Amino acid sequence: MENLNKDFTLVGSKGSDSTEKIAKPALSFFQDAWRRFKKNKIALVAMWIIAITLVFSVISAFVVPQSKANYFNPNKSQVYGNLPPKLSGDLPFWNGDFKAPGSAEKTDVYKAQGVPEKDKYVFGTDKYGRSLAKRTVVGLRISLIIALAAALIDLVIGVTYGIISGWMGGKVDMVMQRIIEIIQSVPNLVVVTMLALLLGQGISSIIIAIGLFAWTGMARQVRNMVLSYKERDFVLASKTLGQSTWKIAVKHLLPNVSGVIVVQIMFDIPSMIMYEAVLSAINLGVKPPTSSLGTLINDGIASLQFYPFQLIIPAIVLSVLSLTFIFFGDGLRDAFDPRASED
Amino acid sequence: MVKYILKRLGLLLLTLFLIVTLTFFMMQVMPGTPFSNPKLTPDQLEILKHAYGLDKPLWQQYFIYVGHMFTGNFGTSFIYTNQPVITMIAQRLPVSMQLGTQALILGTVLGALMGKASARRKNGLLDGIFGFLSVLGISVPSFVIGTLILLYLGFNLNLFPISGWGTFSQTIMPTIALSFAPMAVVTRFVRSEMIESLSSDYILLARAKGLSEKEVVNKHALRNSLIPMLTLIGPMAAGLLTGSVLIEKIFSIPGIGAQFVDSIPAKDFPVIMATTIVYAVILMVFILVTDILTAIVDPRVRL
Repeated sequence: MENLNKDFTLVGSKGSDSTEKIAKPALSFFQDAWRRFKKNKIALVAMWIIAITLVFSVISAFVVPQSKANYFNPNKSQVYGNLPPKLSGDLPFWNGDFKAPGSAEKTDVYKAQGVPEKDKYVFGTDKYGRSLAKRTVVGLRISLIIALAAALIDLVIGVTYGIISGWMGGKVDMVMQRIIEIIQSVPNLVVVTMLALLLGQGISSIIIAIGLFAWTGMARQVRNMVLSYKERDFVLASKTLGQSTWKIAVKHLLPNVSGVIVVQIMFDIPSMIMYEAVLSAINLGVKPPTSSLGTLINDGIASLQFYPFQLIIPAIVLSVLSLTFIFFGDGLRDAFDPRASED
Repeated sequence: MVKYILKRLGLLLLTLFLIVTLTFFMMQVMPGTPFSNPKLTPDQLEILKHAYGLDKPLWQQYFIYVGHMFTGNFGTSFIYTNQPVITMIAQRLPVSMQLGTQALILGTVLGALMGKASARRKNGLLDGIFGFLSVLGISVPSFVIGTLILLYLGFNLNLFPISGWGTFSQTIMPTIALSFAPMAVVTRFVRSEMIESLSSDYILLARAKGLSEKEVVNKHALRNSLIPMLTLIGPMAAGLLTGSVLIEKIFSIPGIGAQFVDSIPAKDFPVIMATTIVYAVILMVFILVTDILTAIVDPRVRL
């Protein structure tokens, strides 16, 4: 057989099996999204940063407990207070040198204040001599707790509310949407103020405040999606097959809405992290001596003229943290909805 | 349209009523009292309470408050003796309004221009610079930007007066600080909207019939991108007018936000309540106005 056909190329001789075969395995929605997500390098980096920060913060809870970051020896504030960042004498920024405003020359503050040779502070110290690195780590942890709470509240309250509102439609939907409008027209600052007065300021009243109003955006998004999806044929099909409403919501609607949900969470998180910072800066947030990024920034503002590093370090940490969430969210949006941004 | 507006106004009043009621009763559960001076004798306390009507039953106080509210009487401050709350707010609201308006105009105009430039040369040098700026504006809190501006432009370079309010030059630094966030949001928004509209068919048509590049970009692409921006600006404007609390604090501006923050630890309940109501009204009116404006500007939106 082989010899006879020497001069000719047989077209399609391998049989119809091979040509009809699908070359690559079918991708599920999430696999497809992951494939698109991986292309966005910035988002990928952001994802890793978030993952590393999370792991780091969990571990740090055992290494640097809050009490350790708050502790200071009042007798030694003179020695350890307001030290600039130092790692080793040779590095350009982390050398412990400090130029006082008005003087032209830099001095090694560590030597001048008589700090023992072995003591070094990566991020410097505050005016009481507490390590800013430790305090920043605690602050980062608090920001992440807020982020986690915001995500949970979005998921539990926002998604449930949205699905119920969209699925029920009609009068129920009308009333539920009016409730959202009312909540949205109450200024957040006022709610938080009252909660802080009522429950005492602290992380719990911030989280409760988030629980009161931060889920409305999510509820609206989910409701709009559910409204359009519940008219689709596949929902009708499962209804005709006798699927219970509950199962339709969980098995058919939720996966379709999941893209929107994930993206919305990623956009809510940075604004809530920022929110904590603003609240702490007007003394409505986390109560001192507990450090949050907001209180650290607030303390830094007070001493900015003399010790700029005390403001800049927590401000950079806060900015980078919210940036990574923004970039991660951007990447997720593009991955879940490729039509949304073809640029 | 008229029917829609009336309906929305009705809802607005209902919401306002709810907010007033809620805040009023929340004030009552609040721990502490404004008259905490230990030197006050019980008799003096009685007199004070009577003067402010705090000795009446709660429901009576509530109705008196709501009744007075309709006549524009928000009571008198507990802390600043005999100062009617309404004059306190009337003095400070215009300051916050001016600051917010200036920041909003600066932010949206700059943002729209930057977004336009970015969209026209996508992935170019300007796009990169503006992209970086808008990312900064979104991720760095305005009070950090404000402090840095204050330090470098105010203290070190001595370009502008450092604090206070009154002359125009005093408003420049806080305006810049406050305008960063809206600028960033608008830049990102206009950029993505314009990239989308620049690749659409009607732009192709506009080019095909020989319009100049300027006309295509400004008249056709930019204008269409500005309509959806209205819905963005509404809540943002309300936020700027009211939410500049920290900027007011940093630059020592006698605005309504600074007053609000001061009234909280002082437990000056009439001021807290009145400010809450003012905030809520501003927010709701802005959302309503933007909805109506969108319908007027965009013929596709039917109310």
